[in-house]
Amino acid sequence: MPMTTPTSPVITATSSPTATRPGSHRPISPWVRAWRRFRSNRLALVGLAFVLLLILVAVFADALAPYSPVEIFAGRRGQPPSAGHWLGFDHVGRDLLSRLIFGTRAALIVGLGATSLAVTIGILVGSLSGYFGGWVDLVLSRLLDSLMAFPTLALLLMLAAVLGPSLTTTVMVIGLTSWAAYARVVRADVMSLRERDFIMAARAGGATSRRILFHHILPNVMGPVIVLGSLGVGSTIILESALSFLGLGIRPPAPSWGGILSDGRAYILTYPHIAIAPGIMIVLTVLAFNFIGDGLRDALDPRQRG
Amino acid sequence: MGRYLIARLFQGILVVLLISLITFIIVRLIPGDPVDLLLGEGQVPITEAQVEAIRRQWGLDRPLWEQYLTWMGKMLTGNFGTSIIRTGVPVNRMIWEAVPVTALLNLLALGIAIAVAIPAGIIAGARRNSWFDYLLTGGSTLGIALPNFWLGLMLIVVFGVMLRWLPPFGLRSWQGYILPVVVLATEQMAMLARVMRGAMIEILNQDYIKTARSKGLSDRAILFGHAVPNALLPVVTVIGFRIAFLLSGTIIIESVFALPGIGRLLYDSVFRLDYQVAQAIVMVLSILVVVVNLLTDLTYAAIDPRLRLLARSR
Repeated sequence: MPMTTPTSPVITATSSPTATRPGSHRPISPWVRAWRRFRSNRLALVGLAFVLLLILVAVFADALAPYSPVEIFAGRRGQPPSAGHWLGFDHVGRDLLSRLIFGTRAALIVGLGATSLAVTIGILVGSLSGYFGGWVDLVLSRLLDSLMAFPTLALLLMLAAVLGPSLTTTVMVIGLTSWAAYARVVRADVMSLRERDFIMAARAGGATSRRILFHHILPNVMGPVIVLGSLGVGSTIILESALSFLGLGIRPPAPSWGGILSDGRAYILTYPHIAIAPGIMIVLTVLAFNFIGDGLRDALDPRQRG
Repeated sequence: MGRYLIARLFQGILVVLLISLITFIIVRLIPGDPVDLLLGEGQVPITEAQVEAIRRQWGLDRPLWEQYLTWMGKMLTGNFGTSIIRTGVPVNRMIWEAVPVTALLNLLALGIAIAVAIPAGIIAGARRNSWFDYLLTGGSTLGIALPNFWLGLMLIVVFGVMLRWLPPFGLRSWQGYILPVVVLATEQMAMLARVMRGAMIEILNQDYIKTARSKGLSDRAILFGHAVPNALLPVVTVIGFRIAFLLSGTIIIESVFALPGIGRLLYDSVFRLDYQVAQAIVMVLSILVVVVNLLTDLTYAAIDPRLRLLARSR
């Protein structure tokens, strides 16, 4: 799972006075500059294109899938790929291509949903911990340590068993267990930003803590957080498929890539073709998000170039 | 150093306590009643009084906080109780039977990963943008995106089903270890090689490397005298801090290959509502993580003179 931990605060969202387009006096927005840097990274563009394609597939799954993902073709169970059914049938005779296409929905919903949840919690905990320090920091930091010391999958397994497997549960449990990395980065960034002169100036001007946090500090930690978040989507998708693979994620017969892999494992000796395609989809999707993340790191966080 | 040690130790104990509380609460919240499950969910004729007797025998009728304190008290003496589902079998014995499999799996995988990834990362970092570097970077990018359980399935298809060289599941012979170890090692290798390469590149850009070069030191002396020892430092901590990930990987890989290790035991006991076993395993795993993290911190402080100075000045 990709884990990068930028520790230095990087000011990217503040415009510098030197960045003006030649022949014009209007300063270029920092986002435009970031996009230009992102655009120059070919792999990142490929990743972005692939993710956009996936989103289209997920949205229009009904129109794109040749068959229903749960329709059972009697007498064709376990048949290998053929002209009418490009990926063949699963162990009960469902069209694998259709299940794969509908599985895109679960992957994207969980991948984006759970990561957003984790990022939100991470920002909240990290900024409170970093800004207020003292006992708030002490308590939250120990919570963070405990979360980091839990073997993630053990925690996920138990939580999913408690809440019962479903799409919502999967988003919730992954979101609730994977925010520690974001909180850690935000905390470190906020702690160093807190001591900067412009915060001192804001405080001297009578700004409230809430205003300082939301208007002055958080915009400056967004760069690294966006980068980490986009890199986190990949590992979230892997976690989702792992949970579904173990029977504690998306509840069958609803299609998910991990669920198809689970069927593939059960019938690996008789119908080995079941497990191939969903795995390839997971790898490509995770690669795409990781490429986007690397591209964003170069674009938003030039000092972190790896 | 002494104060630092005590503070870290105290933090570690606090974390373990917190984890024990979280684990206890979550495990109790798992829906379903183990007594029902044990009695075949109503298929065995049994009276209310008998059910009550069983609950009393296991202490399930006590208030939760009392159950927690009893459990913690016993655990401090190294006694995890007995399994509710496999009646009467001590949890300690179940864990000790599973530990060797998991330990061997992880140590072999980590050993292979270190032996391959460290030299590969050093070479790639030293010869940046060479074909070897591209190969390694590409390989580790792919390795990180590869779900380990899928890699496991594909290896089963190729070596277990098509070629029939290796057993697809189980541990009937030592060959059953080969595929799971390869899978776990691949995952670690991808991560470690990437970290090692990054560390080498960073170190080789430092001023003292330029100084060493300008005073006429050979490339070899610079590499092995200055760069490698310094670049190894962050890698040591990464290895230590990845123990939690390594153990997570074991849970799923043991399920893929049907290996009788700790991960498989945890998975089974969560499904069987075997409270005592699930709790005990999570505790053992997280104590292990906390101890390894502590040792990593201390090792780091011991080998990095900059940190030693920092600790003294505090």
